[in-house]
Amino acid sequence: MHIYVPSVGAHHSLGIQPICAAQHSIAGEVMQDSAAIISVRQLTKVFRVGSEKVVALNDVSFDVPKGQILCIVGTSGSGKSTLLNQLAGLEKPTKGQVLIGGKNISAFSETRLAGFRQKHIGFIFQSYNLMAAMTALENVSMPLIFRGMPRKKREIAAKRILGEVGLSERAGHKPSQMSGGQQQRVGIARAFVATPKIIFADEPTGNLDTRTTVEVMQMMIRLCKQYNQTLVLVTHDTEIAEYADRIVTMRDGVIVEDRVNVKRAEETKEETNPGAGEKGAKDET
Amino acid sequence: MRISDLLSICARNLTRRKFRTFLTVMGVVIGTSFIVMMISLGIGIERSNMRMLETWGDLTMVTIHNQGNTETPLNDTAIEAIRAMPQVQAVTPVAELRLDNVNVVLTAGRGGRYEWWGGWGIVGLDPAALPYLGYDMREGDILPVNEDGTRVVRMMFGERAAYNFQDTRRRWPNNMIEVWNVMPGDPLPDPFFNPMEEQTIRITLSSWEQDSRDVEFEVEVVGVMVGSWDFNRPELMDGAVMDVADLQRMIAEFNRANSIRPDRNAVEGFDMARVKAHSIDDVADVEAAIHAMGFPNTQSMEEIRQSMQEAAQQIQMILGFIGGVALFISSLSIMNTMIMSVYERTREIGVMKVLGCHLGNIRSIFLIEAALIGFIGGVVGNALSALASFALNAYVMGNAGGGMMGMGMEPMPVSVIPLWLMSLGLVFATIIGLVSGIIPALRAVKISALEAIRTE
Repeated sequence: MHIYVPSVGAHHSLGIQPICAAQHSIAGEVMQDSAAIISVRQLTKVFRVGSEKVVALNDVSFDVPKGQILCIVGTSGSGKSTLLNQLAGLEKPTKGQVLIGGKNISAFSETRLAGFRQKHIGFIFQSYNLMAAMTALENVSMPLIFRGMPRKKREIAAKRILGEVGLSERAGHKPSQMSGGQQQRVGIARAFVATPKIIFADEPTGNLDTRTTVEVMQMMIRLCKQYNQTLVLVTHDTEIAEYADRIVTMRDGVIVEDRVNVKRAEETKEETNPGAGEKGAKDET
Repeated sequence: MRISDLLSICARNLTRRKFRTFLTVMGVVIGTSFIVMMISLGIGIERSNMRMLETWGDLTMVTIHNQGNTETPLNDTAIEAIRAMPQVQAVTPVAELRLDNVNVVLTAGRGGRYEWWGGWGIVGLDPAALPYLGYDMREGDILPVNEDGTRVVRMMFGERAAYNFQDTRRRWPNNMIEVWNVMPGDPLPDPFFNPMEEQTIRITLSSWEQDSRDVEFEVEVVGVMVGSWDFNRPELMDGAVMDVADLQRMIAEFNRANSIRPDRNAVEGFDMARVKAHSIDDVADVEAAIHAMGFPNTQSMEEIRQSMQEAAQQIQMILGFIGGVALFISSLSIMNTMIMSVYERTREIGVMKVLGCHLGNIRSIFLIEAALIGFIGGVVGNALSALASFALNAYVMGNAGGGMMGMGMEPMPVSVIPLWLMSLGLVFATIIGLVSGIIPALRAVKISALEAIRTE
């Protein structure tokens, strides 16, 4: 299998397959040895607003291979946030499945989902969502606390990742004593500290200025590539989308475009592909 | 999550809203101290009831009165049967120094100057049982078992037995020392002679009939008992106790000396018997068993004790109920606080869920916070009620000087907080907190992870 096939789905009928095929053949080498870590199958989500039904997701299908940085773009109401919620298992689909690592998380119980998120998923929020009463170090330690890791061990891990996002000196500060950019870096450190397989980011730069946005995006990409982690980020900002390996555009609950970011793919191939390949292989054994 | 982490998160949450936590804890403090105080008052009532009964007589004692029933005589066999009961600690027959047409007189001093006529209140008991029957000695020793075979009649005198003696060489009213108006515990005047040291005490049985012979025995007073108004034991004050065997010997010798044959139709056996149960709880059983043996006429403090206890328990229940209402109200306030806290922390809970916090942990956080409020309230409430109890007792006992003392009772604390009540208060407050936390905790668990995403 030398081509990454984006599975059967809505976009076939939309006539965008040729584009996809063309783009994928370029990126084929990158994705060849990585199986799909996320598979979305005919996902439909219908909300009831009063007596009206709003179709937020309409029969969406696609795959995300391991280690890919995927950006879902769309205007508000396009269904991109709903899609992210489905992928992270925050709400149940009306129809269809989300398979992560081959497991249908749509069928998981709340308890199983909690354990699943704890082990495999990191989350970055638009409004940072740090615990106001806790220091940066404690905030970063949260996922490890939930795992029941002893204090010393988790503080070592939290300090290390805080160092990686450049906030070693802010470890003892509370969120209220930090700028938005710094807070989001704490948020990023918290998402990465438990080295999850997948990281979801919901408008991670939505509250940041342009300069900080660049900083934060580069940091996220760097960390992901470093550990061959899969990143799914949602944004309405097409500039940010350019940081991704692959860009999925949504409108009215369907995928209208699914393309590989050629520029980024080439950069990635040059910079990190050899390392990423090795790590990916190790992970699978 | 580790328990230490759970606890530190809970403590942090409670200290985040200090004043609100303080107010909620105060509710529990008031509730706990109310219930502890109320129950302590009930215990105080029960204790002073018991004390009052004890001054009337030993609560574990059953007195059997001989019915004059020839089928089941109250004799040694019956005494042995009672002694064999497992709940019985000791039993003694009670024989009075009393014969038809016979006078008893005790004399002392040179030429028998001092005389005690009648010998009322002198009883014969089994010395082996005495140590269990609550005979406290003011002076000397308790009446020993006659091991040396002495023919001297050993006695222990009641506290005021010495004042029964009249001085035959003085005129009324100087021939007696009046002590009836001396309160227990108050100093007594000196008697005419000290019975413990007097070597000349004799007891004489005589008859009014002509040609009758008197019999006389030497008496040794081994001790003087502490007096009490125990109406079952008049010997403690004005009487005396002697070995029942000596008493039987004296009567036998008198009968022999005067060739009197005991009436065959007369009731065989002792006048009374006293039975000491191991504990208050055994008294009812012992009494029932004695009834079953054929001695329906028994007497104990059991009935009056039970009715007083019931009354005290009723008061306790009413007081406890009032305290319970106070604690219930404080539980509403805990619930309110915790529900508010769940609302405030909706987003935080959502974030925790997204970060993979188990539902059980979220539930535990709210339950522990509520239980902590209860626990802290319980600790402070206990301290407060200990303080209040101390102050109340100091006040009441300070004021109670006259009246109660006059009855021969020391003032009793009105509020008693035993250790079990403190621990009960603490456990109860904590459980109330925990229970109040259940609904808020369930609400917290139900909060959707999506709350974390929602932008306000």
